[in-house]
Amino acid sequence: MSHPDLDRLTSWVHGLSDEDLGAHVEGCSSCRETAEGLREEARVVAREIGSPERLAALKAGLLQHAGGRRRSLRGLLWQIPVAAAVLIGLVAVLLSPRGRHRITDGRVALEDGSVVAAPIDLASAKTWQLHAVEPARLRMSDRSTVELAAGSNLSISPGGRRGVQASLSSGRATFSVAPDARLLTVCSPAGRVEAADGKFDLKIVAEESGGTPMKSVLAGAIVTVFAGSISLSNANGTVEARPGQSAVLARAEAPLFLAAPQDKQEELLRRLEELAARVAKLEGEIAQLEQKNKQLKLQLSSNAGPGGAVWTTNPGQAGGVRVIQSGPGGAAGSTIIIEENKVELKTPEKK
Amino acid sequence: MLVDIRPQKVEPRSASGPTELVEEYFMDVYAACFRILGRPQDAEDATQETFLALFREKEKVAAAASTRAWVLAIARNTAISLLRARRPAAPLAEELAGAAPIREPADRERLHQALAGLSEDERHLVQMRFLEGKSPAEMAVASGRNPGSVAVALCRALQRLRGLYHGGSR
Repeated sequence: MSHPDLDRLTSWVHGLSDEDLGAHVEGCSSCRETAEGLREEARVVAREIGSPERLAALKAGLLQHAGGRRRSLRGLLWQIPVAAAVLIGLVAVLLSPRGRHRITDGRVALEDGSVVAAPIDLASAKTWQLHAVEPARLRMSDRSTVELAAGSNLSISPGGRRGVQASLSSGRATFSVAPDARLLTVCSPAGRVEAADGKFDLKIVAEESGGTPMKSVLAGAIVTVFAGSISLSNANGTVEARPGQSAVLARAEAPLFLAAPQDKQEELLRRLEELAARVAKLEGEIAQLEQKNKQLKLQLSSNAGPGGAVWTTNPGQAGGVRVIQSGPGGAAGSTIIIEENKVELKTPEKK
Repeated sequence: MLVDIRPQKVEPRSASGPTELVEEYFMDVYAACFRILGRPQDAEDATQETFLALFREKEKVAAAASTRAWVLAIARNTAISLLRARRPAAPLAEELAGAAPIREPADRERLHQALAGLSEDERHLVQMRFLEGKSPAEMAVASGRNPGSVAVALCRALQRLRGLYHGGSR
């Protein structure tokens, strides 16, 4: 029997065909080796697609979060699988390389000037000063992810309640905070942001000051919340921001909410409606005045009234003026209309 | 007055509490996200985002006619949003034919890239076989094909996976 090709062996190993290759594979070292390789491949792919440790840890985290949201009064029977899942998660945490941050996308420059490209792990026990050479993505040791805009400077260091904290000194970053009962702290030069879960965008705003060369001076930080409840604080106060809200952190002031785009739209619409109403009213008044003016002109043209008069300069020519006075000059109630003589000029025909 | 005492058909109670949602749909959500995204880590992120969204919208979930359909729709939308936001990785060059099986020690990142390089249909087959552990007959039912066609398609998907894994970056 000739050697089966890789597809036939794959089908046989995975039980996808009825063909019986067992006897051949048993007696052929080459095919046996390939079949063993295919079984190993199946284990590798299965492990990578759905690593039981990683999925157990994720599920445990979600269950913990779910349980924290709703304190159920169920009995121990309900709590046992959750506790087991949490335990499995904890073991997975200890055994997996969670003590590391990982740059999963893009390139960043380190403090010593060297540039590293994803994927690369960074030990979480030390402080890292990262400068995004291009848009980069970082997964911190607590599973929170940071999407760094090009040119941003981020520092990650051990500390805080989660054992990791981040500090954005310039640029822009979007944080997706992994759910955890403990808060993740993200610092900025103008204040700090804390969240137990959710997603927010942090942008450091600098303004140019005069002089040559121009100096960049910190103006503040803008935080936009996409999901979760985020706490913003500095020396002057603390606010809680909800999804859809944006707030400004500035050194000299308490955190200040920015008007939501929807509010702005509503305000603009309201003002437009007001303007339209005013324009309509003015148009009505103008129409009334024009009507009144027309009537007066008709009346005065036909009869200037006692003491009234009509004067015309350059009669029959363009540019002339016609003055109509309804009563004696200076008398109370008399009306004077001054109008331009509009005579159509004809262009002489060329011969 | 007549009272109807015949047994009424009772719809199975669907999970709508946060804990029940996680318990019942965790793997379904992960599988749906993986099928779209391809990279296991991204699928984990999307799974997490999906459940956080479901926790926030628990009233809507409770009111949904089919909890499962609602949950999977949220999972799919979340995964698609993440896919759009993700910077596309450099494509892998594919070794066209005869690539050897993927052996230990495997380059995990490379394997993840190769998985992401498969089409959604190919990933669905790989996922049914290796994540959900479905038999060929179950795969045939789930994908609406005949068993022979499923076998050929899975072999081709694995061949492509090997080709992408061994092919080297462009």
